[in-house]
Amino acid sequence: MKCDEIRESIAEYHDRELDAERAERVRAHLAGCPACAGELRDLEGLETALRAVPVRADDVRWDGYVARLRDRITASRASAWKAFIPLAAAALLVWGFTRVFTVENGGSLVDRYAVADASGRERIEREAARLGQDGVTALVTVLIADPVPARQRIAARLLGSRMNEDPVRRLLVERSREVARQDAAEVVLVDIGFEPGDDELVAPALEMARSERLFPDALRILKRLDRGTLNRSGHGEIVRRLRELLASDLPREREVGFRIARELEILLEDIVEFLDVPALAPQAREFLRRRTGRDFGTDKAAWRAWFARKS
Amino acid sequence: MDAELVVRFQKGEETAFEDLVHHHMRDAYGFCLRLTGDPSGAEELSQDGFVLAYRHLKEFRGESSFRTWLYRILLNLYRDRIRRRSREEARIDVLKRGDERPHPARPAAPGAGQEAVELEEIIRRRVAELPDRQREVLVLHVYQGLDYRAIAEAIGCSYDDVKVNLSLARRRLREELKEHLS
Repeated sequence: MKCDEIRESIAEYHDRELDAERAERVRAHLAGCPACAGELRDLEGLETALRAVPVRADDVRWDGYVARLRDRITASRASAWKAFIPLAAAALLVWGFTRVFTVENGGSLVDRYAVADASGRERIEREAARLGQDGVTALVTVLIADPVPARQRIAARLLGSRMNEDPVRRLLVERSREVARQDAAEVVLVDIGFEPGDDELVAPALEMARSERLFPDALRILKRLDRGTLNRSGHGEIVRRLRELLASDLPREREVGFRIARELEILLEDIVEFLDVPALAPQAREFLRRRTGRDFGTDKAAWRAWFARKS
Repeated sequence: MDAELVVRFQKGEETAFEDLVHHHMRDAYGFCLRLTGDPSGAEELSQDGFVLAYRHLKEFRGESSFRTWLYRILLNLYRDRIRRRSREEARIDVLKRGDERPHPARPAAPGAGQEAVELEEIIRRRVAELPDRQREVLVLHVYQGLDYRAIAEAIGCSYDDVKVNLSLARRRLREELKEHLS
């Protein structure tokens, strides 16, 4: 192996991240290459210096730590009732909308859809395409706030054909803000895997991103979904759909995909493809340079070769 | 051990959570301190993390270790706080706190001279100045001892992101600490 390939792997070798075969190849090279061995020594020196910095734990009153925590848990149980009030209000709101919806449509579309056969579903989708403001509001509320993931998914599907309509997008943003406000204390939980159906929200958010005006809101939602669950369903869906956008024949689609990928800092390798698009090349190059610490200019082949070596 | 305590808690044994706290409180506090640079803020952050863990442990699905899950909660709480203040303001806070601690803020470790204490302060500051993602990855790896995969789970990013950010953090620190490490 050549020195530059070895240097790519020295950190992983040091961190015991390489499989046995690659580790052995690096070890063999280091034994005969003083320059690369010096690189490893530098890394070890830095690591030793960093590890030598102690944590200042002497300021903590450890003896009372658990007792203080116990008090806070007790207090949080009490405040759970307070938190319940806005949630109850939200539930009432959902119920209210559902009632309106039920009266208007002779039955909740969402619930009917759940038990309908294929032709029944097509009929309900056509109904959803003709819904008035109240009906759409009800669907958006279910999509954002319903506690049952399956209902959220159905609402997303029924709203799918109407995402291009400005009033629908506005409602979606307003409702998500409203829910975010209600859940302010719990917002962090959304990020640790307790929000079901993340992947169902990706498509509506990407639709919103096509509008310049709604782009910041869409990005906020996508960031939240991207950093979402431990099982990374939101992230996986974003990656899949962004790849579709980036591969599109339509320049506008590709541009939207690029902007989102850049903002979310994912899909590094796909960004290489924009190095020969004059309007995007400087941003693409700067993005790649910043994220990888390398700079192969606008040489797509060199970037591709580097990514291939890395993988 | 943790997995067993989690199951016991999920079956209704409240004291199992206290055992989990005992196992992880110093580690969690240390992690929060490396993130915030502020002892009282670190205690509050670590306690908030445990409160959230307590409230949602019944829903914990065991897709990662309890420790990684706890780190994830702490990181999200920390990011949430940073978001509330502006990022720049927070960074300045960390730096100011560094300035407010004249060397030596605490007695040097036995055998360590003034120079070593000063170097510690310089390293603390350089780590605090790293971009957020690089600092998170570095702290989880160097100080909390997580491997790349566990870091990716805790932060919510890809394995490659961990590699790239760790490499950038090390490169920057090597450059900035060059004269002190030689």
